[in-house]
Amino acid sequence: MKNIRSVLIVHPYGIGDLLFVTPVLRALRLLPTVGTVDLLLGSRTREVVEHNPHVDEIFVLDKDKLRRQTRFENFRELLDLGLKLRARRYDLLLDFSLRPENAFWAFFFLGIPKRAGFAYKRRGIFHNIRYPLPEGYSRQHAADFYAGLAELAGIPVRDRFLEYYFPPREKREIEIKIKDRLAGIGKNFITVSPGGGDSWGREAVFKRWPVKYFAELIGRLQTKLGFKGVCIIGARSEVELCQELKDSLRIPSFMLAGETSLAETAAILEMSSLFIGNDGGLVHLARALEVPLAAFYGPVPPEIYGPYPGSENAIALFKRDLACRPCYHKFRFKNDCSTIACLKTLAPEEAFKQMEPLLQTMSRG
Amino acid sequence: MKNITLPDSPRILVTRTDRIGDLVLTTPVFKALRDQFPKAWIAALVFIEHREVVEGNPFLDEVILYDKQGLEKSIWGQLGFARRIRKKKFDLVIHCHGTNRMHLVAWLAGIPARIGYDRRAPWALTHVKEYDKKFGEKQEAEYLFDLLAPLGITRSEVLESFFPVTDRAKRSFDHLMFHLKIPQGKPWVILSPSASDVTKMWPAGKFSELATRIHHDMDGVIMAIGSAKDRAVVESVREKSNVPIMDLGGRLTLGMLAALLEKSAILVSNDSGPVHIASAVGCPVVSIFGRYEPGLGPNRWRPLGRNCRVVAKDISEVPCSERKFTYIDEITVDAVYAAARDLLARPV
Repeated sequence: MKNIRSVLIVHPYGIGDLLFVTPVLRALRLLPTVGTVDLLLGSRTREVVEHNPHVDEIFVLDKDKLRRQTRFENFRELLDLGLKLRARRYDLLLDFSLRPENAFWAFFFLGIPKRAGFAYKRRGIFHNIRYPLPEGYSRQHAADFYAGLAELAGIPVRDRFLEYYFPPREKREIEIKIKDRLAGIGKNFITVSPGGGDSWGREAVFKRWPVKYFAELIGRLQTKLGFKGVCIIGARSEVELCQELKDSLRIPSFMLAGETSLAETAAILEMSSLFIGNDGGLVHLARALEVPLAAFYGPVPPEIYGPYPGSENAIALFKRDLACRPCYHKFRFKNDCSTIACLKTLAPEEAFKQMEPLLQTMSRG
Repeated sequence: MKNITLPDSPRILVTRTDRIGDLVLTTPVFKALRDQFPKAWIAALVFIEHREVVEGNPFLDEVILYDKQGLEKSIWGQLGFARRIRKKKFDLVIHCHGTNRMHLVAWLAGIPARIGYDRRAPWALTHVKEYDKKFGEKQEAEYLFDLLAPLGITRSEVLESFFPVTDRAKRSFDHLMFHLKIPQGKPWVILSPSASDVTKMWPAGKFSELATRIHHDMDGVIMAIGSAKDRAVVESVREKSNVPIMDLGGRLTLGMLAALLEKSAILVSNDSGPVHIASAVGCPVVSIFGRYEPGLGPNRWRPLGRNCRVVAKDISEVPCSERKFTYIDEITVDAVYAAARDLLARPV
């Protein structure tokens, strides 16, 4: 039998989910025979793992780009990628994609002997190590499902924390640059992201707590914690949302929407004393940096997508006494819901109250 | 042994398919070869599990991995491996540890000059050195230089082992410390309570007692290391101890272990791999010996360098017929503690 020497990990999803793979990356390195760990990612997430020392090569399969190109260009690009991957002669495929096609190509074109993946609704037909998911992700955290799949493939995953690595050489420069830009709000500030949930596209509204509530909550927190400023961050598409929040705040604030790289965003998070945002990539990034955080959850159950691993300084805020929540199940939710009561009826006072234990640990220092 | 004449830029293979510490003690050989043959192509053949000991070693051009439990387990795997080695056209092979498999591989690969010890298929060698390591008259690394005599290499005065602490390993290790919330800025005391053989293992209870005494003396962080297989031993040291001991069992790669030791104040260990890694990265080390037989005792297996102490029982009074195989249980906490204090008190 051949030991695992070379591994390909397929993960086409967003920033947060990709961070859930990082415990598996660490665990792979602890196997003494493993020499190569490569990633095949979707668009826009490369930065998350680019400087992770447990990763060798990163390949990107950008679906947006494929859509823009002609068929001939696509064929050439995919063939090129396929040949490159084939030359690396992987022993194991860890497929986190919930799709059958990656394992199909891995079997017929790349010739990977062990193919581990999730068997959700017969999507595992080309895998030979299958993690059954009859209910989708449920009852345990998504990151534990990822680790579970790795364990099924013979990789014990013991240390389960998310990791983000800064570009090692540029880190100081980034910090200086960020400090310069944030000079107006002083050293003691919190970071807020009123947007988030970009990966849901038009349905991102189902992940967003109302902006006016954010403003009110920040006011209350300011009285309690005494921070001097607020840094508002978001994607380019969220400029209006961020501006709206900025306008309704009464303390010095600074807005950086769509202007920062991921490393810069991470540097901001690392400097801030608290992060508040909606369920999404930034929450998990803040968690990886061990920044105290509070995140809002609507249709999505926090026990599956909440801050990971659980900690008293990273809490999920959600409407507790609502029968229809959480409606996210088997990767679907009620997107025809007209009220979005789970987010809209979660009043700032209630959110503040739910944050109480977090504030206590913060004041203990 | 007859002298060997090599071409201008010779291709040299050094094999060491053995334990981790033994491989670390072989690294002075790489340096000596590089000094003698600056233009040579020097390759090391090691077990795949030990790749991090040699990958990144500046004196080597190539690392060849041997997977005894996997790809190269069967006879076909062995033959295929020999074929791959044959293609590399080496001029000389030096077997630092005699095994049937390695002697055969080099013979099958048709390497013209084959130096090794007089054991395990010595007929497959061209230059056979008497297997005198078992007499334990000098340190393992010093013994290895006898193999280099046909090349005109003599032993240098100071022997230094080398372990590459890569940037990758350091960063991965730093993140582990960050997420485990290990305080920086305090001295780190590392305990290594496991070993490959139970006759080398100082009792877990004594390690715990030592931890208590060290904890009483200084405001440091005490951590216990071991491979994934040794987790039970690490756990038992932690259970028996009444001071906090951080469990790093099964959490470190060899590279990360080197990164840890590089930053640590001291390592207290049974005679096993981590001792030699510590001395390679300059970490003060106390090595505890229970066995005294010449081939197994401290004379041969003591750590290289000066920043180390060996704790062993003096058995010169015991008549040969009454000697036990190991005295590991009779090593006192006092003796180990005194050695550790002595090293910690030295100015860095």
